[in-house]
Amino acid sequence: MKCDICNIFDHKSAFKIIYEDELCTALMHESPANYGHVLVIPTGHYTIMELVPDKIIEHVFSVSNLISTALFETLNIQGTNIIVNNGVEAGQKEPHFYINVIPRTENDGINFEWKAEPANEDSLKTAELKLNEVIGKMTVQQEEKKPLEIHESIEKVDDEDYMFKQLRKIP
Amino acid sequence: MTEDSEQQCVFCKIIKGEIPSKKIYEDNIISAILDINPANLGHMLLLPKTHYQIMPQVPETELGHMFKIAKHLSNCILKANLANSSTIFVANGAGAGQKAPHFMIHVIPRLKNDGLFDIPKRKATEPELEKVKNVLIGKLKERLGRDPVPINENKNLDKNIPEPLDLEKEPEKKEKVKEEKSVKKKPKKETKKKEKNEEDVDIDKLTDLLTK
Ligand SMILES: [Zn+2]
Ligand SMILES: [Zn+2]
Repeated sequence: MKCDICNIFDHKSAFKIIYEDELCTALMHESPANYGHVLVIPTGHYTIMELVPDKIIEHVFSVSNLISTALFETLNIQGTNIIVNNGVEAGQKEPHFYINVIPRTENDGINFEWKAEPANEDSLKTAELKLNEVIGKMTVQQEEKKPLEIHESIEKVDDEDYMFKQLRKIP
Repeated sequence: MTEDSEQQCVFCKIIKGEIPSKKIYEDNIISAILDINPANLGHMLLLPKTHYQIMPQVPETELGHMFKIAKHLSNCILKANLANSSTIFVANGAGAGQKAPHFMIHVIPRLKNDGLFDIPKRKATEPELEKVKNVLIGKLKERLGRDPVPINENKNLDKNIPEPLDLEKEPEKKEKVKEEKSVKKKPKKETKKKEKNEEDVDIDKLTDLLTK
């Protein structure tokens, strides 16, 4: 069964696409949280954020920033939210990672606030220790080259489309 | 972004160590600390060391780096068993819930029924969507100096897409496999289940849940 989000890429004309390059597509959400709600979706089928290569992460968030700025400059809004709900408990519904860029206006009825209450010091310490242990082992790939600039687009595409065909086979 | 506001900024003071904090990650571009008033336990704040007020002020490479580290820290939340899901959140502007004049990315562990970050869905009409689409395309065209939606879209676009990171491969060298050179790896084959490290996050299970 094909992923609903991947399906978008096969039926592009049916969607309100506002930006597109080799690595991602941005389109208007059809059931927006607010007027101007945009989804930025990587072309590759990555179920959760942890599976997305660093280079793609950098790129899709740069595109989200570009779109956030465009929203600011065109709509009468007071801010934007960038949100990724990553995983089932976070409310992720589709098995394909994407980013929400949501314009915010006064009295828009959206509530992303949380109760800012001090955490118990002991439990904070425990969380800190647990995290320090795994973060200590974290190895981040060092920059070899700059991430793909948004400005350079799709000029260089090579013939190897096998990678994409392979991708399609993976549920 | 005056020098004055920078000197007043609580987060600049935290970064400099003038105010104590629970720092959990640091490199030359960012510091990450635990939020002492967390949405859920393990809530992290990623702060650029330079005082930028809002996201558009952050240079592209720094912003890319920040979100890349956000991804890795999200993975650490899973590995530390604080949660099986996470939310990456940016409030850009006071109207979006930004509380401090120092740009930051929130990485928040998510628990079942925690009631956070519920994105409402509203009905939108076709003409309404078409209108805002055209407005945005116009602005993006101006900013990029080119058409943001290339016309020959279906011909050559769908190529050269890096595959998902293969977290299953060579479990004994999991860290390396996960973090390095994912782009150059061969296409993923139908994966057989391999034995896993006990500490490993069961990415398969997480993704399966989504696929069902
Ligand atoms: Zn997909
Ligand atoms: Zn500051």
